[in-house]
Amino acid sequence: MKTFLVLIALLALAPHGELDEQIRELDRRIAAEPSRLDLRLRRGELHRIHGDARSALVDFDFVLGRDPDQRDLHFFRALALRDLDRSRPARRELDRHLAARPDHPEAWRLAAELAESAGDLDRALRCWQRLFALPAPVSPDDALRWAALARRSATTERTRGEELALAALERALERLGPAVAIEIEAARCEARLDRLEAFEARFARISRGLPRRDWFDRTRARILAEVAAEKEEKR
Amino acid sequence: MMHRIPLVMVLFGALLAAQTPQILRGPYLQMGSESAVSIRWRTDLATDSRVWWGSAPGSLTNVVSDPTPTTEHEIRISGLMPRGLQFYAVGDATNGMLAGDDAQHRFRTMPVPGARERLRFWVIGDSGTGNQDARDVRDAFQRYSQSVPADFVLMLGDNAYNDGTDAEYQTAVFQNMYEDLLRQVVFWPAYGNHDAHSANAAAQTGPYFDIFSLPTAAEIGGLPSGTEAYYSFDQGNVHFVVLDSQTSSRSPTGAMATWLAADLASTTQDWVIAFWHHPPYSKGTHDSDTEGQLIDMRQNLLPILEAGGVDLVLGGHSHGYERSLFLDGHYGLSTSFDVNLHAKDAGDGRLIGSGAYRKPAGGVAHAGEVCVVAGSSGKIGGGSYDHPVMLSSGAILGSLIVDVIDQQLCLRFLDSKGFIQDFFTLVKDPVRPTQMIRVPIFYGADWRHHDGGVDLGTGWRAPAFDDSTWASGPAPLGFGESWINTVLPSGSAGSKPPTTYFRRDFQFDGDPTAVEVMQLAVLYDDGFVAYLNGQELARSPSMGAGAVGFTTLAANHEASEIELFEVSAQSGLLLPGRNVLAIEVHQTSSTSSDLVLDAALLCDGLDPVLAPAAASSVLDALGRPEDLFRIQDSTGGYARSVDVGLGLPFSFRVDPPSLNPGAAPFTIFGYFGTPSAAETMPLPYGLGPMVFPPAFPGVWAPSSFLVADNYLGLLGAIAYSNPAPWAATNPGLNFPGEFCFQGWIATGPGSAKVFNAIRMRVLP
Repeated sequence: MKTFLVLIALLALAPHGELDEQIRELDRRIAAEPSRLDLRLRRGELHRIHGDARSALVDFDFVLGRDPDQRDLHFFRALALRDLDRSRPARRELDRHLAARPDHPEAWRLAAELAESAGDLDRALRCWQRLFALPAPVSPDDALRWAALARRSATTERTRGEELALAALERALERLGPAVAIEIEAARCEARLDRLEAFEARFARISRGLPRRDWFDRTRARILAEVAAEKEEKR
Repeated sequence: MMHRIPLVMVLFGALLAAQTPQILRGPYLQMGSESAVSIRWRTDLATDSRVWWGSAPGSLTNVVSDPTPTTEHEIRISGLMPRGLQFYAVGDATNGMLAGDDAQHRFRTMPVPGARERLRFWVIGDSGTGNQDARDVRDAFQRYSQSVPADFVLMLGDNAYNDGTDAEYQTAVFQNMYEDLLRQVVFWPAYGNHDAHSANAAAQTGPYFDIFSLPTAAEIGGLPSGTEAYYSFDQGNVHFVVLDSQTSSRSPTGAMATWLAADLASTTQDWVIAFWHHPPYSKGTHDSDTEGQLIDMRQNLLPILEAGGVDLVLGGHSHGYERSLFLDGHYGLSTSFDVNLHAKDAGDGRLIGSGAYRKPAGGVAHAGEVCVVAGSSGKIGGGSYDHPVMLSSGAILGSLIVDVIDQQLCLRFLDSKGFIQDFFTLVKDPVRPTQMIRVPIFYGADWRHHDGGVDLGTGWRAPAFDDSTWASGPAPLGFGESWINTVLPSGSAGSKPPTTYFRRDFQFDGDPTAVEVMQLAVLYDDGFVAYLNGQELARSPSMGAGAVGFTTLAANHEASEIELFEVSAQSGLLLPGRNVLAIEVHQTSSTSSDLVLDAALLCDGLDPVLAPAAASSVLDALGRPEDLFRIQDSTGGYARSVDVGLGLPFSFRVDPPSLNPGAAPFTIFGYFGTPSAAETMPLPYGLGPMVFPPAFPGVWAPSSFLVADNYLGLLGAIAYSNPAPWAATNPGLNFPGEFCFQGWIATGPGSAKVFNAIRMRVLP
């Protein structure tokens, strides 16, 4: 799994000169080998990264017409459609892709993003849960995004949102180990839930044995003050 | 009943049984610490994994195995001694050793975290071209670092072009590139945009994440990041922070920023060095005023780093070299840079220039850092190279060599031809910086010259030769070129003398035995032989290898570029004080139309410490010398020297020995000036040596005086002292000068030892 080469290539900010060069090279190769669908897929993705999702779709549609089962085609189409703000067809493409490849973590990330932007927070939450259930590595950013979504998903029931966020963070900590950024966010949830014993225990645990703990002391105090202010505002 | 098995099948079976796995990659080292290292390699066939190691080739008596069949092998060996040299071999249980058990397969563990031992690391950025440019950069580093090899390597991202694929990593890193180094030292990488073409930082998948083993859970110091995309680690007294400027959230409230703030706030290391791919400031092939990642890193992450006391920020991405002033607090566009507001020190940071950059010890926030772009280890590119924070910029192939020596950091930019193009020193107060790079002769220097067409034999090379009647002028000297500064008379003669003589006196103010690298750079036409203090130092290839006399002619050579001659092996010719570099330049013929000479001499190396006796004779439980004495809270760094201001108070402190933690009586002596090695004095009663004879009342050297003493119940000259721990503040000295301090302390009942010495300079 780890060696699976994902061409979603988060290189959107690569200098365009280099991308142009790569696209031109692919143009030449495709002209020489027009039946190579993998080259079309790659050029389509480069077009998309270049910000030209329409040209990307032309390449992807060409592949779709010849081999709709081409690996990750629907995922790439979903990305391009997302870039064109066509989120409904993007979600449909992604559903097709995930039906075939439910073990694709990037697709679950994208699915969560699309569901969230469509306002379907429950589905977005389920996507994050699916992602964190996969054996594939996840990131601290994933954990914070999941927790933020969980908090938002129950806006009318504040406590429930914090519970969900805390559960998400605890799940992330199981997966990632004691990542500091997640621990701090989990502590914030505990403070909001008035679980001060757990809050204190967490801070004690994450700063145990450190030669300097002043930052943790300050952060602890800041979180408590922020949560107190939030509560005051609510009153 | 017996079945006949076809011979072909028998042979095929035998072939299979005998098939030995081939190593396709490595072995290479990862995750090195003071006590452990991971060894990785790739084979064509899946086998179990086995590493043998020991203190010498041929006696690898320790073994670690993993029975899981794999082609991607990784074995971590632990329980090693700090700074220990180990040799190793890799293989499997069936086939035994496949590689190693020789002098090339070795590594040295790191110092214990916090130990102030010298560290050298090599920094390469955007090195992944796999081409001759990258190899030239590598070779220049290896030549320069022969006497002091790197302890580890930092990679600033874009480690394999164009897409960071596994195959590209093979050619850009593992094969015909860094494989010799990878066997011996750990490469610590940052994630570049081209690495991201084939990898995904959020999922930590793809070649970059498969190839490198990186700490996620503070395995080698720091705090757990939970991801290999950004991480931290300790080596010696340096805390390294590696950020992901490509994919991870660069928001000031993102996971990376939160982790970074906590991580920096938790370290007590002397130095904090951060590196990532997209630099905060650049006007090279990328523009930090217009590109998102560069802006984000500058606006969102740099403030956290500066609040955390960062000392050095390294980046790549732009394919050139750019080095900043000593900065703090500049987070806006280049047009908003105000040298008065944002430069802590607008000098060049060179001891031979405006002086080293200085900042307080102890991770003080917003005390200044230097930002360096070094993205030219594989290729160079255009750009304006005019960012106002930068002191030195250009599209030059090269890499960085960084030394951290106790409280001093020295960074050099070494180009692909071996020239030091830039350097600076950063030092933590109050430590006095140790001179490392000296340029005793620089381009354009004045030279005495003699082109009278007379054979001067060999005597003119000698330092004692009287050249006072020779004319002199600034280089370049010669004739026949429009840019010559000093035109020699023989240029207008009809028949040119075959040999012209040049001499230059220079002072060397350091210790010649400490020189690690010596380079002679020469611009010449047509051939030359250089002599240092009468002995041949170098000659141009155009002179051939044989004996050279007045009439010897050179092969044709035009002065189109300065050429470098590595003469480190001859550094023994250098003398303390006065030296003479003598150069004879030879023509191709008596009708030659031109002659050129300009030259520079560069020496790089640490000045030695005060004297061996400056080390403490007090030992801790592990038998290591224990520094108990401090001035201004400092032991004086590598050179055991501190600077204090004229008329400003300064503090003394003496701590008790760890093995005698009660109130230990002690005595401190002072000395006017810096004692010479000859003044080192072995003391009686097993006290150990001191760097100067102590002025014990009425007995010893008049140059020294008693500072504080309660060892024998005497009243100190400056302050009455209580037993250690003890501290006192001197109101300040109102005259500039240099002093040295050292003393002894009770290490137990009836025993005492000399503690560490410190030089102190009072600066106006």
